[in-house]
Amino acid sequence: MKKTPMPFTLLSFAQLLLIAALPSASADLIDDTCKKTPYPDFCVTALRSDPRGSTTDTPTLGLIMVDFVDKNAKSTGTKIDDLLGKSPDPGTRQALTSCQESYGIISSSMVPPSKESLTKGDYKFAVQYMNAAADSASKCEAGFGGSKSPIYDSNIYERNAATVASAIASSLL
Amino acid sequence: MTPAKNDHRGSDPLTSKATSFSEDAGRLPTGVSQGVSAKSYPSVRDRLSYNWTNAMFSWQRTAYHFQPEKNWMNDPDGPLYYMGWYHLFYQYNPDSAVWGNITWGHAVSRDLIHWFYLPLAMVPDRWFDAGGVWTGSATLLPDGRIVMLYTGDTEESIQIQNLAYPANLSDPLLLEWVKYPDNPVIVPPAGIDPEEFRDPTTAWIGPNGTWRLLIGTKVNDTGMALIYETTNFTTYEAAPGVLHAVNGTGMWECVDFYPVSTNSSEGLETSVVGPGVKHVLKASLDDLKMDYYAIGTYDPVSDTWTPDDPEADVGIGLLVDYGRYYASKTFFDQNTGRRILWGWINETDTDYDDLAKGWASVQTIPRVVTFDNKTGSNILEWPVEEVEKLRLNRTKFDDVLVEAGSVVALNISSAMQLDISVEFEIEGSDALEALEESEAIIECATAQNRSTLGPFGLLVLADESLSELTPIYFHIAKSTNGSLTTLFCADETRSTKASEVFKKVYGGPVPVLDDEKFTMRLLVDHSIIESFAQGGRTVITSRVYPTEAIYGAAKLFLFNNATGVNVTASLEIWQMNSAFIHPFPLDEM
Repeated sequence: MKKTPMPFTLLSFAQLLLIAALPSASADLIDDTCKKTPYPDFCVTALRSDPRGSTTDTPTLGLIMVDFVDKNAKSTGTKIDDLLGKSPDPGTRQALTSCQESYGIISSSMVPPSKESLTKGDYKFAVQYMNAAADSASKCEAGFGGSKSPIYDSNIYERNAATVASAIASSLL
Repeated sequence: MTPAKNDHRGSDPLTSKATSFSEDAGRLPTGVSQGVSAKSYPSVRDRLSYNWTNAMFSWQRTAYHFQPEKNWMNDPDGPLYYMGWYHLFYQYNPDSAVWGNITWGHAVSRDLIHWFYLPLAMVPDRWFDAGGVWTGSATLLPDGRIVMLYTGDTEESIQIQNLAYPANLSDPLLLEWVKYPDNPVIVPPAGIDPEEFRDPTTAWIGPNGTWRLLIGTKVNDTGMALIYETTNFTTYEAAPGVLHAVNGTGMWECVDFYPVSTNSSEGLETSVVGPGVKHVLKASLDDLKMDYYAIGTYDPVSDTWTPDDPEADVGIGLLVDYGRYYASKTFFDQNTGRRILWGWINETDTDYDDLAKGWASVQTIPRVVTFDNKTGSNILEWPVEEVEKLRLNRTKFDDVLVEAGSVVALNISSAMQLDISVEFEIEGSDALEALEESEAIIECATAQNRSTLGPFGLLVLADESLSELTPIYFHIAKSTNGSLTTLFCADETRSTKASEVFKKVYGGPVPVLDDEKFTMRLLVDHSIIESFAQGGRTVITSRVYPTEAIYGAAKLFLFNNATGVNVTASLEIWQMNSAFIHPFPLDEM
């Protein structure tokens, strides 16, 4: 009988079962981290969509989420520019302009200290500034007077992402 | 929504700036579906940032508290006295009104009140502090040298401890600082998270002639102070044990450790031990953003510290300040023989407001710390007497009757820069015995909650119609074990109409001894109020941002919301001058 060729390692049935049963370490960290946030499903989906999500480091998960806050802030800013270019009514114009300013501030002044805080280990500042970003997304939406704004999805996303980023930083305190 | 873990006494002062999300985006106000215009619901518009005017913003700047001309400040660093000058360093962002890019700001004063801004002392320009020149402390050596230990953050985000010293000890202004070229001098030891290892203390000398200092950290959820020993400040050995640890308190930032005399009001140099000496151990709890302390006994042989009352251990007992206050640090002022305390006061308005007005944070007026040998169980904090140099004219009120349920206006020329001393007496001491069980109160609540014996106190930064007001008050109640408790409180919930400001009630218990009247001292300085009860047994710092009660519209009142007793109040109120803090005239030297 031919011997088993060298490249093949014959695994025992038990070993095969064990490998099948092991969850990946990274998926565990995402699940554990997201459980501690107010939007766990959103958190898991967002983190798994980023290649850095396979990290084993909670601060990096926080940084990924801050990046989502930043990217969304910038794309929302672009959307607002488009909407403003379409001559909205005065009330909508006023609300959009106020949101434009808020989103600009998120990118210029809330994201950098949050990233610095998560990178350097003084996590309370990421909690503070991501809370401020989430709050300003909510206020942006509220500025349209109660009906869904033309940037509703962006505002919800921003609120969720910033809240989750803040909660991740908070879990590190 | 912050996780429940961060909730303490209802909310987390430094981070609970967000309004409730469930009320916001996406939910229609009731009535819109029935055809009522959303614009008729003012609550929606209220949540947008208040329409601050430049006049309102510039009113918020303090007149006699230390703050930089602009941008962000946090922890006080390395306070010291040298060659006729008091020095203050502080965490500072030179670029923005939010935290980041941290450098050491620097200011000097002859008298702890009139400060001069100096150039930045240290910037993150070396690999061992490229991530930030973080908090540190000064040690003055017997041979006249000054040693500064501070936390640096590397690009790899490891927290390490670095040594710096003045470039020129004959420069009284200590303008230039040299960073030891072989930094770091201390790195995180095995088993310690390299991102939870910071804020070295002032060193003290032990019985064998070796210096010791502390660095705060946590292991799991246990906060602790690690001990490092040195003879030369460049090489260190980690001591085998810790000075002290307390389960469940989390990361200990800005640890401070110092002796107090139990039989005199003199301050003690940091190395003093012996009979008649107790040691205060203090930590800033990262989890709660509060400064806790405990008094205990230090054993210099075993290098351990034991609290006098383990139930009031560090992190679970007394607060240094019950208000908006963090990262405090003391130093021994060898000039006057006092132990002096600095504390960082963050804003409670939003980060957006801070960016709009271009600055954030204030330091308290420095406080003298002494041991309270009447109670034996707490320290006393009192504004340095140099602040009294700012007093201008005085108005005195004797035995003003404030009946139950009433407000009495105090006629003074201006109410935004004040030094107030007030004594209250309750009419009819039998009222104290008549207090019923059902009024047990253990925590400060809004001043509108009335009971037999309180609350009574002052309404600060209030407008004539009381649409904005900040009550600072005593509230006497029966505690759950039947004895009388006095709470000292500051209610910020109506301090401003601006809805985005974080407003809550602050305060805690204050011991009042049998023969004592109820006394308060308040320093009012625009958007900051420092309130001291019973000679400084309990202190509350408040940040307030009125929109109406500013400039000439700000008034001062006495109030008595008790249902069962009248109080009489005697007050001395001084108008306070500005400290005119400005840059040091270096080009004129």
